Amino acid sequence: MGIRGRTDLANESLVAELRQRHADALDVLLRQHGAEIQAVAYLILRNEHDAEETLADTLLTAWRKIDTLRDPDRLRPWLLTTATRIALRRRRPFRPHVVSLDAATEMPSADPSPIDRLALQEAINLLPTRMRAVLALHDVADLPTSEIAVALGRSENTIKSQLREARARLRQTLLDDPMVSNDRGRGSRT
Amino acid sequence: MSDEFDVILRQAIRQEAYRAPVLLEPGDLEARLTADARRQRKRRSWAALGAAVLGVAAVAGIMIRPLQSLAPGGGTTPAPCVISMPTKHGSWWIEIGGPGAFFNVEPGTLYAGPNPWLIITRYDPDAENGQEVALWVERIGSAERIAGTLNSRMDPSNIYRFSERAPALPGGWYLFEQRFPSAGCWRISAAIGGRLVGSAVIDITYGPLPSAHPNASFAPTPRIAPTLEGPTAPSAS
Repeated sequence: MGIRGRTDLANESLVAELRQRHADALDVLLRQHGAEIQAVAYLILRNEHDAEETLADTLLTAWRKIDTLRDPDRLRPWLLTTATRIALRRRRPFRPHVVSLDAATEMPSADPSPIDRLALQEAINLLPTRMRAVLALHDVADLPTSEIAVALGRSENTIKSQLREARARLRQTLLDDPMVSNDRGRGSRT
Repeated sequence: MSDEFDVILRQAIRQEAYRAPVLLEPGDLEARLTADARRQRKRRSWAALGAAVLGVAAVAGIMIRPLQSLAPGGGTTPAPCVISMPTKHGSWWIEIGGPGAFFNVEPGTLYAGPNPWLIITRYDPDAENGQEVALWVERIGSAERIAGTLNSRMDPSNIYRFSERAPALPGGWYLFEQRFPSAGCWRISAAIGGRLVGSAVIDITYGPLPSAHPNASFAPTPRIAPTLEGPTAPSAS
């Protein structure tokens, strides 16, 4: 019986399938980890297409290099840190000058969060890419700072300080935004 | 207060990260694997052939260069692409072209590929009621001409970069979908009622990465209902 379509395969079985180069294992990998990998990549790259490409590259890297993963239980952090490294290599030196029509036309009032989505997007976009990577691995992937430090080749103290700095900058930008500070931005940006 | 804000902030960050749905299909991955394997096989066979060709080319180059320098014009170097200089309005809005049509294109940001880019075009003066607006591109030095498709009329007050609006420039704003199927020097032109009103020259490359090629998810069709009451889309050209 094939494993295609399964979303509950244990790491050990999945890694074994990958090592045997069963193509169905890629399908399972995508279903089990795709959304999280793409979310991390999207927070770093701020571009849906690049995030999707990063997801594809990460899964194909996992397919090719699965033999380098010693402990199958480390599959998830291994995928997420691989995705981060790929995303950091992929980042572009410029932003394509295409207006985000999604951002321009969606009504923020549909967002249940008290933080204005457009203001948050702006605040995240203003962070340096490496700081976004730290934020993604910590706040989205829930990885501990020690692991992020290893993945990004920095000391744990540097990661902690970047995390503090990222949060402070986000808070500052959001609180400086008149749409947020006046009325928390609910439906006012139309 | 600060802790509470941090929790809310973290939730909002997660929401933002998960905003884009996963569109990648297992079939896409398998297709890439197959393509990679084919590419590797091809690379191996071409590597041997390449070495031989390089040797021949090196010898031929030495022999041909002196002859080229004797020819009028000194050889067959293609003319450089003289691109149109952009004009910046406000803090971020960039346009090229003129005198009667301006294109929101920043040089060096569009790449060749099979799918269309969205290009905001400002006609100043705007088209009259019933007049057709059109956009097309031509590759300079070839007969290649690709017609753009009018997507919708735009309200500039709905165009933002981050939280900053596009400047209130005069004229009519239109969104076109335009493909650049190959790299090269392209002239982008706009017409009203069949009369050319503006053009610009841009250099289109294949981009630094395969991912730089435009695709549907990168250049989404906007959820803006067309509001064309006056000018109309041209028939297929």
